[in-house]
Amino acid sequence: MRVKMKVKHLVLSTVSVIVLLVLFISFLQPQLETWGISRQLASGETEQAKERIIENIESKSRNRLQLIEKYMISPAPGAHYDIYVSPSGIMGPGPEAAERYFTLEESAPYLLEYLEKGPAGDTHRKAADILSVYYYGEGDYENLSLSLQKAAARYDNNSEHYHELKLRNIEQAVNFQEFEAAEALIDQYEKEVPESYPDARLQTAMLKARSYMLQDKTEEALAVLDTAMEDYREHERQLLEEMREYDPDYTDEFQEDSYYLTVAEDLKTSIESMDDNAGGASIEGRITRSDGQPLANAGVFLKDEPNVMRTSPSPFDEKYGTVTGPDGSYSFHGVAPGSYQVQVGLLLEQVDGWSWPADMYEWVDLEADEAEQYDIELTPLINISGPKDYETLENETITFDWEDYPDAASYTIFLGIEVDGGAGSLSVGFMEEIPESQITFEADDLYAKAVGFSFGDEEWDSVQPESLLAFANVHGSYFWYVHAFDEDGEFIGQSNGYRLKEETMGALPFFQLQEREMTEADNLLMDGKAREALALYKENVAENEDDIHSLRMITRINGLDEKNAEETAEYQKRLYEVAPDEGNLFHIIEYYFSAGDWVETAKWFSRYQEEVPEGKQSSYVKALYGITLTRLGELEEARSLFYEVMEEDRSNEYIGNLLALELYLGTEWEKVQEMAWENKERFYETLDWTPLVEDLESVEEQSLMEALRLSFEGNEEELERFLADEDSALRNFISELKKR
Amino acid sequence: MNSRDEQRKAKQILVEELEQYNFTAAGKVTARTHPRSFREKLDRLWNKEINIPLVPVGAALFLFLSAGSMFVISETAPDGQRELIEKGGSIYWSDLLEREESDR
Repeated sequence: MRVKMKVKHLVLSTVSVIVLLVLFISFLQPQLETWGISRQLASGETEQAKERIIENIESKSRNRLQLIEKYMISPAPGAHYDIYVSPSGIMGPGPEAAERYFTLEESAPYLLEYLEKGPAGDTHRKAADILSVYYYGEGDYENLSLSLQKAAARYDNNSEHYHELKLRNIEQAVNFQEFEAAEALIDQYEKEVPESYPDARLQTAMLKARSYMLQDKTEEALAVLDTAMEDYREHERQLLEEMREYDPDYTDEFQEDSYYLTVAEDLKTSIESMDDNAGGASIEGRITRSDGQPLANAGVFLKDEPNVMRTSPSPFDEKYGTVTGPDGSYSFHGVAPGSYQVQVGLLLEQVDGWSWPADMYEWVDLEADEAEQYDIELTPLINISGPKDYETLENETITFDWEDYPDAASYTIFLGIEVDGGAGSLSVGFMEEIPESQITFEADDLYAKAVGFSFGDEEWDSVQPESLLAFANVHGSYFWYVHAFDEDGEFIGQSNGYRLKEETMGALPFFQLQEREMTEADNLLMDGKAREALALYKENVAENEDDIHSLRMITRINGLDEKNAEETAEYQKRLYEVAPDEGNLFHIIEYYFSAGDWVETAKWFSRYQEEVPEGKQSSYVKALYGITLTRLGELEEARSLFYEVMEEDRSNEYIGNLLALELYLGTEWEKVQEMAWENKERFYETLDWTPLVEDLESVEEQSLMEALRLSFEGNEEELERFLADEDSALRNFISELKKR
Repeated sequence: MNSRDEQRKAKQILVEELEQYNFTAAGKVTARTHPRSFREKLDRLWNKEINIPLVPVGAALFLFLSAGSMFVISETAPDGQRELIEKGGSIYWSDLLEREESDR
């Protein structure tokens, strides 16, 4: 088959196809590039993709603003951080971190371009936020101010962004103590603020007041604040009157005080306290890595007790929030005295391969007119050597091996199991006070350890079988990590943390243990037939009373249902006879303690003392025994035991018990109060016993002694009757004591 | 009537009938049939009719297009969106961990 055509038609059609193709490519090519880049990123060629993005942006390609938006603005944390670390725990990060490939430093020049040329709006505004955080950390006021001005210029006077950016600009001038610049900016801005923006007017006045405050002009500062607050209230009154014209019954009774007004009140109080030369505390320090490298641009927040587990999105919106400078330093002045934890906001790139090992009970007590130094050091994650990378262990002994960590005097090893097919995990502190960077266990040591249980629903037999079998499950996947402590017992490093790059990932701490074989009952359990398995384990034990594995499994499965407590305890005791073990003893003591059998509790505790060496006894078990001693009337002994507990347990969970004993045994008021003040309870919630103790001073001594005696004896009914006619101070103290 | 007369007559009629027509494109026709200048040669080439064999050209075009679309299809394979996962007490990028797990 052939077609006939003239050469000119052939040429013309070819040319038009080519022209179309060229047009197509010039419009579609940037999209193709963008798409190619995301392909490259998805396949892990991050460096090449980053180069391609920069090339595209610098070649003024049509897609450059889009690329800046997609790879530099959207995934950037803005004025936020990926994770917030405090001694109490870690929070974050959000999903946007997954798309972040550029550091702030790398993006900064392009963001500046975006501020000028990018479309105004939320993304544009975010670019301004990112840059202001960056320049703040760099200590570069000029560029900071310049970028905020550039950004503001893109909005008109009616836009919220305009006012926020202008205010941010003034705020930064004040922060950098550029007072002349601040004054000029304030003068200029005051002329622009419309009458209908009372919040902005009040904010401007607050900034002005802060600027005066920093220049020690407290009178001027207070005058500015007073006038502005009065104006603000006047505006609210007018608003109320206007509303009443429409609706005579209108009331603002239920309306909360305006946010800015309360902030202004706070500021006023702190300026006044400065004026009296009393009140303001300060804290400062540096955040560095242990190799000396300072951590610039990290958020630092002071969290008081009620807010310790709250995230602080932006350092600029927090009462006590700031950003570290290029040398990693931060400072807070004029802080209300009290107890705080320092929370640090970090980006993933800052924390990758590092951690801040902090004791969860680490609080800073700030006192009026005193300056605290609080430095934070990030230490590298501990490298582990083995077992690793899912290796299968089949020997009777298992050796855990890790790097010799600088300054470490002892280590704690944690072991864990995966549950739910890897979706969840349970881990347990396996051994403390390990003197070397290596330890060998018998496989049976692992089998003896329970890790806690996870359930499918509320019924006990919905328990996930792998959590019951724990390390005895030959199909299980296990992991481990270590924590390092220095000579003073301070937590200084850990092997678990953020491992986000090939270089920081290290050996994978996973292994399998296939030393034993699964029994028939184990297989039943794994099939989800917990009841049948339990029956079979019991049968096994009936046949062979030395069947340690079956005994262990019975105590674990039986222990899930509180109704079986007594039977479980019997099996615990049988297990103890054939395989004495600390965990086992602990369960027996706990059982007798909760059953209120003080004599048996004491008996088993003495076994515990024999079995477990002095330094390794759990402070919780000791505290249980301390309470047992008070029940038995051995108060002096109980007191000295609680002192031991207090030494070891930094949460001060049992301070109340100790204070009660001290009061009963006739220790001076002042000393008891001092003890309460110095040892705030910080268990699940924080409790300062000081006011509770102080209030007791008004209570008649005889009543106090009687109430304490009844509470020591655990005589609930009598105590209830006795307290009914007593002072509320006494009732409060005793009821807090009863909760422990 | 002999044929010569007839011919003469026919010619006369033809001449009479064609008297009002005047052929002036003789030059152009000669240029086409016997191109002399470059322009004339180009013009001839431009209007030359060619025969295109449909089967081989069609096959080549088909191969070209299908190769192109194969490329496009392979490029649009679903993106593996990475996420942070907590495993063994540490936090990893899902894609990196998967890769390491299969490599080790």
